[in-house]
Amino acid sequence: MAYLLILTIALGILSGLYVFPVEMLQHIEQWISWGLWLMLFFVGIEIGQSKEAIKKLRVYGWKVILLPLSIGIGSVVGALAVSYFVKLPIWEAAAVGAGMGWYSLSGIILDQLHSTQLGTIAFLANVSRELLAILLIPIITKYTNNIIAIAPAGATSMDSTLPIIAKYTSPEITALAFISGAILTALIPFLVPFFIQFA
Amino acid sequence: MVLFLFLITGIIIGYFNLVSKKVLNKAKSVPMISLVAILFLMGNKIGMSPQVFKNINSIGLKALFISLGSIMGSIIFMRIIIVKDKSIKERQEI
Repeated sequence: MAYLLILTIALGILSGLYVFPVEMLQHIEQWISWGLWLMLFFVGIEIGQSKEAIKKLRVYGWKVILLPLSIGIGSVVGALAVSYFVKLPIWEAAAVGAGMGWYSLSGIILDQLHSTQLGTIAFLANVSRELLAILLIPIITKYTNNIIAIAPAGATSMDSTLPIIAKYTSPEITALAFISGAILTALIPFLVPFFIQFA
Repeated sequence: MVLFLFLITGIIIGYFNLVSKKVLNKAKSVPMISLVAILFLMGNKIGMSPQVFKNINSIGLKALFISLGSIMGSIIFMRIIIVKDKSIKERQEI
């Protein structure tokens, strides 16, 4: 399935280069949000049907926040760890890492607040995070069918990678993935500008 | 915000079984089809942005390593927390 999705993106890039005119960009943005709404509606139905998971969430309560917390800290620390090797200043690396897969937003914020180059790096790094997550989720769940699979997805575990998480894990982990992604999504618009102000 | 509206509507419908199983079974492939459509459109967006291609070699490599660092960091930190927190560990074994 992951290969089909990668192939789809590759076909999309070719189509964006040679088939559709750039004037269609605005429509494409609109179609993407409609598609996302439709997808989220069905994902919502799936989560709603797993009543056991919702009951368990009530039991575990605030501890669920440990999941997005570990993903968030790990994303920034991990980006900092490689910043030296790719010759990227630490605060720029931290801001890119804090994008956590939300490439459109982190790319635009860093383009606006810092430079077009960093915006592009953020865009590509977070696109790559999403693509790698799409590839890694089926691989991780092959060996351990557990919650670790949602770590690569970052904030995308509430939307674009949620159907993949749903397919390869349990409804319960899917519900946790959504909550974790939702919390991270709410944090990103604050975290990315926070880190880049030190650069 | 609109995203939450759709999602919460779905959750309510799913939780209270407001739509019959028959209808839902017929719409089974809709989420995956819309995912494929979104990814195709996202590819188009990438193809239409010249700035993404101009410096793709130097910048792309940096970006790839940052994303790998973030992914590894997330996995490592989550492992640490799951080992530390028994409730999460038990939960994944259910």
